[in-house]
Amino acid sequence: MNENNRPISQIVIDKKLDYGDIPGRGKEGRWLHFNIFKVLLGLQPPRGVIVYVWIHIICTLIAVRGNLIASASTLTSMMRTVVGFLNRNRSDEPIIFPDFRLLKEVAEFVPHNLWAGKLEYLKSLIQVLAAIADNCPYFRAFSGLDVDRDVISQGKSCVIEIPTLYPAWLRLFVIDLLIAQILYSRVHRRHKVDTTEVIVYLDEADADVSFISSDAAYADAYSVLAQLLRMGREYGIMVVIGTGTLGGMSKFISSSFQYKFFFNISEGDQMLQAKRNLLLPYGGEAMLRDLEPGKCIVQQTQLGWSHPMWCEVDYVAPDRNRGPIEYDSHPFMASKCLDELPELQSFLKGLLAERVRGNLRRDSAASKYARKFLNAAVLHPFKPVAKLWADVGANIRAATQAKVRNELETAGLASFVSPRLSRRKVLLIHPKDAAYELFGHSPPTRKGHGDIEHTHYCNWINMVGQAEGYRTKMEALIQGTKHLSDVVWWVGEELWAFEVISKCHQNIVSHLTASFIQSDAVAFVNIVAPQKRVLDQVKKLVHEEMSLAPYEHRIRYELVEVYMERLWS
Amino acid sequence: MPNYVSMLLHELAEYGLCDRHPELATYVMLAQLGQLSQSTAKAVLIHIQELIEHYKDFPCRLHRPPTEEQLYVHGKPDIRVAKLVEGEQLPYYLKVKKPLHLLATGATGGGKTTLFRGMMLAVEDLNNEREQQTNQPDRD
Repeated sequence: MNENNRPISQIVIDKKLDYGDIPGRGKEGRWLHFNIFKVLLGLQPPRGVIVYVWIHIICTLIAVRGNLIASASTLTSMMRTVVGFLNRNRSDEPIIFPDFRLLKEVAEFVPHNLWAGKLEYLKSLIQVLAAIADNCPYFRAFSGLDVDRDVISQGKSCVIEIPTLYPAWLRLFVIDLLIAQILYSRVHRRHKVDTTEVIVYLDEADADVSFISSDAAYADAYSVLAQLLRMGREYGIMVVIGTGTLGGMSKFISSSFQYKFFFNISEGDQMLQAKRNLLLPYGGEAMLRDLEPGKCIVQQTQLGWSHPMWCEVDYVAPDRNRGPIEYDSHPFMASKCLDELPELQSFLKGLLAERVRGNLRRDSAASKYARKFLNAAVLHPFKPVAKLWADVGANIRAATQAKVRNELETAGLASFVSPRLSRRKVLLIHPKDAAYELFGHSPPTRKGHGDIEHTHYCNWINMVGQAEGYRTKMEALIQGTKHLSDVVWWVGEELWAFEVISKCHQNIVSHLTASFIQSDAVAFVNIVAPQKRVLDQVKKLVHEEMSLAPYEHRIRYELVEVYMERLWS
Repeated sequence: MPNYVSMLLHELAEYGLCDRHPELATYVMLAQLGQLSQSTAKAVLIHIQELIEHYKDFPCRLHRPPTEEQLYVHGKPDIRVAKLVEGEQLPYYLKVKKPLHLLATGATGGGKTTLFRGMMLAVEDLNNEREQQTNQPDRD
């Protein structure tokens, strides 16, 4: 069959299940029947479209429909990186694109400044991505339904049912995506023809053709649907649109039709609008109100007779009482989540470290000090922040220190806590793995368990023990029990165990029971807490536990501050 | 005595009758030339009274329906989807081999979906026809 005799592909986007019987009434094998909830949609480019161009197209569509403004460039930058990674070893295979779930996970995986200038941009983007990633399994594909590849190029037609697709912006996006696949594939292949090769039907299209979702949504006031109407003819695409109203329709769209069918209109404003559209004489609008079902006013342009005509459409029985439907399938490549792509995780971490290195090379005062400060923190990860600043040297203003802290937190290089030790607050830093990698160090293998404060306190006790010349160990198993003591010192022949309390002290009795009753290896247990008030509460708890009464003289109570001062007084 | 000529001109204009019934335009021309008598105007008024009553109930300000030659100046198009209600009740065809966009609008229940369903099936028939033509062996 030559190009001029190839069948016309009919693409029916069916929002209210009016056309489900059409595939069964067509020639066997020519029609495909899809339901949006039973297909897999991917964001991959249609044939002929250059990848970087498609990245901009698809990101613009998501941003426009998801009502993202500043986040569009964030999404583009993220998409470019992930697409590059996913296709790095696929030179001869079709291009794949990340799905919404992977994009969301990537956005959450690395600190925001890798992609976005401001945290708010990324937050908005994640919110939009999450709406689809969490609720729309039909988007879980790296490569999914492509109307051009799977239907039109096969000389087939299809009905794509998209009923009750919510949120509403997602419905607009899906329609944009399907149209973009059809239109841009042809535009980028310069597939210009004189005859119709594709007819796209879009019934109940009020929302799609409205000024708000078309002109106002796009920066150039030129939606994908408007482009399809404006450019589609050159590329062999005929568009058939059905709407309930005329008012509010985009001018780009309303001025693009050669055939216009006006059925019964009962609302005054719509009648006047239709009258203007048809250029009916005074009083002509009244006829629109009186049109019976099936009767309409038809106007055609560019075809000779251009006066409105009174017509009656040929009756075709509606689709009723159908049983279960067997939908068709299509080629796809299922998506993977970030947990299943460890190489991507490593790649992103590397990218982040590279970015941060670049940032820290800048000459801003904060970055200059940030680098020095972070280097000191990596070398002495358990030193209080005030002491680290003393190591950096010079008198650095509190405001600069605060900026550095903010910069390191934002970059995901370190986190900070500020616990109260006795009567004063002490700022502590926890350098993250990326910080160690930044300076070419391996992160410490044993950091102690618990939160940042707990880890610091344990390490301080351990360091003091070593400074005193004792053999020490963190998280040591007490002989004869399954209990891990936070720190132990071997003082001569005696074993001193340390139980560190940072926030919770309710389980201290079980620790003591394990140390003294279940085992006889421990000579003393030192309970170390940040405040005297906490120690008093622990003392009371221990005193109330009668089974521990014989061992009370082997329990000591100490403040964390003592250890800190012994290290850095 | 009432001015029948003025009354006739008013009624013809009010209901746009000259557009839909070109034979009545002759009386307008005669009136404008001062050649239409009161008695003729009265007779015409009586003659078109039924038409006026009809248009009072069912106003129609459309131009008259076209003839087949006027409607299909470039030959009959590809698929039939409707028929004209007035005049010769010509079948109405759409040209789908050339990409021309179509808009159907109106309240629910008007017939948009019926039109689209008819189009889809008609295009499908057209596809079958084309396929048969292509698959026919050459006769020479």
